[in-house]
Amino acid sequence: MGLMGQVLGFVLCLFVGALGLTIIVWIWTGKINLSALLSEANGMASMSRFQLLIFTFVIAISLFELVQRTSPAGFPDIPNGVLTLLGISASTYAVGKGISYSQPQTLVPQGTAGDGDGADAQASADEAGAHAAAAQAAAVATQAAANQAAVHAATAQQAVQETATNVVKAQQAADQATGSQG
Amino acid sequence: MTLTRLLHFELLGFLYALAAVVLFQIATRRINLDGLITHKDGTYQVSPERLQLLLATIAASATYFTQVATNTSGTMPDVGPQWLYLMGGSSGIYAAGKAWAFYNLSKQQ
Repeated sequence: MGLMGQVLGFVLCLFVGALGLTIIVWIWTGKINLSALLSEANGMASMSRFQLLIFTFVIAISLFELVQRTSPAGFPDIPNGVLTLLGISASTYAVGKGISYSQPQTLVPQGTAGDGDGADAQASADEAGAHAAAAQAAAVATQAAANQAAVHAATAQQAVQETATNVVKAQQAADQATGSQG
Repeated sequence: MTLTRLLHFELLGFLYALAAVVLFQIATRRINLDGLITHKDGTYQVSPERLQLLLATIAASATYFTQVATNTSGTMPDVGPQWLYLMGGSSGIYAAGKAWAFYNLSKQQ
């Protein structure tokens, strides 16, 4: 291999390595979002997707593990049984997807029906209970404040009446004083 | 280290890292596995056809990995017809169960 070939080979290795590293980092940081990797149309996990993922990893890792044991080094032949297995898995996935999307109206969105997700339902009930208790406490506090305001209003009313009485008395006293002078 | 070997280790490392990241995200629930083995009709009960497919998948994968690990010839081990029948039957049951469940759901609506 000439110098040019060596340089091109290293550039290729560098590119493949950088590409792989970038993909892994982006998946790790969430820039490539895999949250729905195994989800069906209704947001719940699909067994056929999970199976295809497992088989893909198993066959791919097996293939690369065996490459270094092949002498001379090369791409090992893929037996028909392995291809058939992957075909079965991929067909199941395709059929499952076809069934799911053929009747989208029958898809039950996750968390909207049933009692199977008891933990979530319990959490929601607890949260609703907490909100109700907080509302109850707020109502009690409001009632107490209203009562206090009523007491203050009564006191103010009494003070106003006393003031009016005092004014009348003062007026009468003033009238009497004016009469005695006259 | 030759270029071929370097490239081989890069790709193998990528595959292992990808598998590890996916496994980690599944473990931390960033990849959703809710409802993997339950019915999707709103009852959320465990579905036997999904459970048997999960077990068959794990068994077939573990068996194949064991064959690869003990293989010294450098050729990919073949998958025996028994395993193919098992996986075909298991997947067929799963697909039939799913189709039946969707048929029943569409009838109810």
